[in-house]
Amino acid sequence: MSDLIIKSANLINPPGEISGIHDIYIKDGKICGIDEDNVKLNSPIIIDAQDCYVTPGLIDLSVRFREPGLEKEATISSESKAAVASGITTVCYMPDTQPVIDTPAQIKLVQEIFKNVDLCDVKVLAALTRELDGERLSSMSELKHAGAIALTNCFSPIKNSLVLRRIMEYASGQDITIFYQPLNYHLANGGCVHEGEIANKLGLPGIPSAAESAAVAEAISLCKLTGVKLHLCRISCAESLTLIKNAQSQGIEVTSDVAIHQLFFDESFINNFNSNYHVTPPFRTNEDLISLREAISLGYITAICSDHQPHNEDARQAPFSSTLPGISSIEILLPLILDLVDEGVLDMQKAIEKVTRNPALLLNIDSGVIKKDFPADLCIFKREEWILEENRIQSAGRNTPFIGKKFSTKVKKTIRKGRVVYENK
Amino acid sequence: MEPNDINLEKGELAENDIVSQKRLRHFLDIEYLSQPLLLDILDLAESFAGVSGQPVKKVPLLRGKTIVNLFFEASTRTRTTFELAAKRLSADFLNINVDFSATKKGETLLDTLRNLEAMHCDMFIVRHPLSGAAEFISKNVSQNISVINAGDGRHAHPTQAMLDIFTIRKYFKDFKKIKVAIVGDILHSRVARSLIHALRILEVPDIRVIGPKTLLPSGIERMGATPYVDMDEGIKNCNVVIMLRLQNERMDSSFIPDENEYYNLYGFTPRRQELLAKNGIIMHPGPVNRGVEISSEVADGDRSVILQQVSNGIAVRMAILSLSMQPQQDNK
Repeated sequence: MSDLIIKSANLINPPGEISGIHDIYIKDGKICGIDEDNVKLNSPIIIDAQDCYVTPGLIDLSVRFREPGLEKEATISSESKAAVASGITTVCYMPDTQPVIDTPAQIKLVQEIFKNVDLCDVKVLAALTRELDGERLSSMSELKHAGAIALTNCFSPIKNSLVLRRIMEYASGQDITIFYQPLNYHLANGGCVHEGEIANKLGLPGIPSAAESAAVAEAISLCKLTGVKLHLCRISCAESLTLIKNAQSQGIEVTSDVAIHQLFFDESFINNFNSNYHVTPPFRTNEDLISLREAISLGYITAICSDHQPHNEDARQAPFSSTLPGISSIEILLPLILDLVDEGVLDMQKAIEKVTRNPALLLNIDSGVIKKDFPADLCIFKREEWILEENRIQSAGRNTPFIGKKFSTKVKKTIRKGRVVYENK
Repeated sequence: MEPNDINLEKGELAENDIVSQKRLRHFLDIEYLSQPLLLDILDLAESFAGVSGQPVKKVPLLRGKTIVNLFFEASTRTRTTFELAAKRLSADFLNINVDFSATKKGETLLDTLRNLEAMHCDMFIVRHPLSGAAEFISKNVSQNISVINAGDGRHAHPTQAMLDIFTIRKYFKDFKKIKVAIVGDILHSRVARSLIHALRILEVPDIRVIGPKTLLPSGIERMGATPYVDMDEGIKNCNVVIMLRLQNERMDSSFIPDENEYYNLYGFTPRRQELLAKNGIIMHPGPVNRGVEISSEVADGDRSVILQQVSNGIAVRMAILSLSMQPQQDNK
């Protein structure tokens, strides 16, 4: 592996770390110095980053690359290419594959495929319950020792409150973080859009906001009871944010994230049965959208993820409620984050933190910052306009409402452990 | 389309639906239609109403055209009146009943469509249990095929709404002076949704929906209807009351306690007839559940226009079919 020098880079780092225009020195996959002329490099490759920003490599808290089992939709190879095109160097892998990732062997398999593809790092989230059945606890300690970064039941319901309590208690004893998708499945009642104006008009079954906030309230109460490390995934409504804010102000350590698309759309976009806007949790009201943006800015929501869910065309060729939910969005995560900056929702430093340092801290990994002795995972981008064209999408999933959108940020290079894994000329 | 303006998709339905004010591309939903167009359809239906009374009940308007009733859900009334309407317009007609559960297992909806297209049909009349199905089909058929929505999930049943307003106009010439109430399971009703749109477009000043809170969608006000939980208060001085059928499964899934309580609270009894305006009429899209949402005395009484609705259905559907049939195209 060659050594690298990134020259005249405009560093975006978390507060308290070095920022502004500097040179970064990289040796053996690690950052060995910033502006230190005396570091000895072996005939280094020099990357001129003038007019570019350099951030830590992005960490995506939720992706589905469909492998194993659903390779007709996407593969780890196809989606890793899409990930690095957005400056992402670490992905958290959801366990709802076929079969479900609920054994150490399944974790090893996924890690092995990522190793062979060799583009980005994977942190596997294993299943909280066997086959995600919501009832039988998985072998949490074994899964942890096999490398599971946290455990989740994805979109599958936990059987009842008592099982959830047991899960949290047990996980707490093993010092395991739970990624919990808050949804009361009885209240959701098979809905596919937000229970509101659009559901009324289109006659689509709705999911009330209370289906989420009731589950958030329950999870927070049980978090307090059990002391588990709780991360609430994909928050979608203002009621949940109020509960999270209150919990945080009481000193309950609960973190949360939001899917990037939730910061751009509300229910009104579904107006024409357009299944590209079919997501779980559903797009809610404009007031919810405003609250989510506010919570991101004020910090109640810790992180932003792509919630990448590629589907092939067949999954979309049906009436709205029969289509599979989810958006393919991994390769536009960074441009969308910068759109939030352009729209005045966040400043650049805070925005980048939501996809770098904050996810690193909640996963407890040494990453998400440009610092001496840290892995040289970096994203180099430039403010440059481009348009997302369908036939140039890297992901196998074309299921995105962002086709045709103009972006103002282009990733130029992605570097993982000191190696250039993506380059846009 | 401006690449950055992802909002633009929102007006698409209207463009997809209407070719000109006098001709329809598809007939999927009433929401985006104009008042003059609705009135034109009613006028045309009026002229077709005479056909049924003639010794030869046929006009040659759609001779040589092939119309397919594509029903993914059971229906008697709607299916039959569409069939009669098509036949009175001299079209060739085919009934296809697709078991929805069977299509779920194997052939996709799209494959079913492709096969029918290959048989050179000109129009699909579609009923489907999922909201948005007719819209989906309209977007996926070839250019020369028109799609008529005969009911999709809870979303829309526009021809039923048209025949309802046709029936209303027989009794009340000025839509701007009447009070209309729809009673029952508004939440699951495509008839109610389409009717509310039609009445709003015709500028009916007082549109009411009446039912227990479990069957009234929250925020229905934004569609232009005022909700009432109290039936007596809701139907007071109304000129038109439209009763909806109560599905049995609503009791099993805890929307209401039982038929008896429902009948007491929302059943149309002879006593309630007295609350209507003097000239008030009672309608029902059928099939009627006697003793559940309406008493036999009322259903068969002199204020009931339920059977006229069925007869009017043929004329109104003839009007919609003839307006929606595409002009001859060379290819295919």
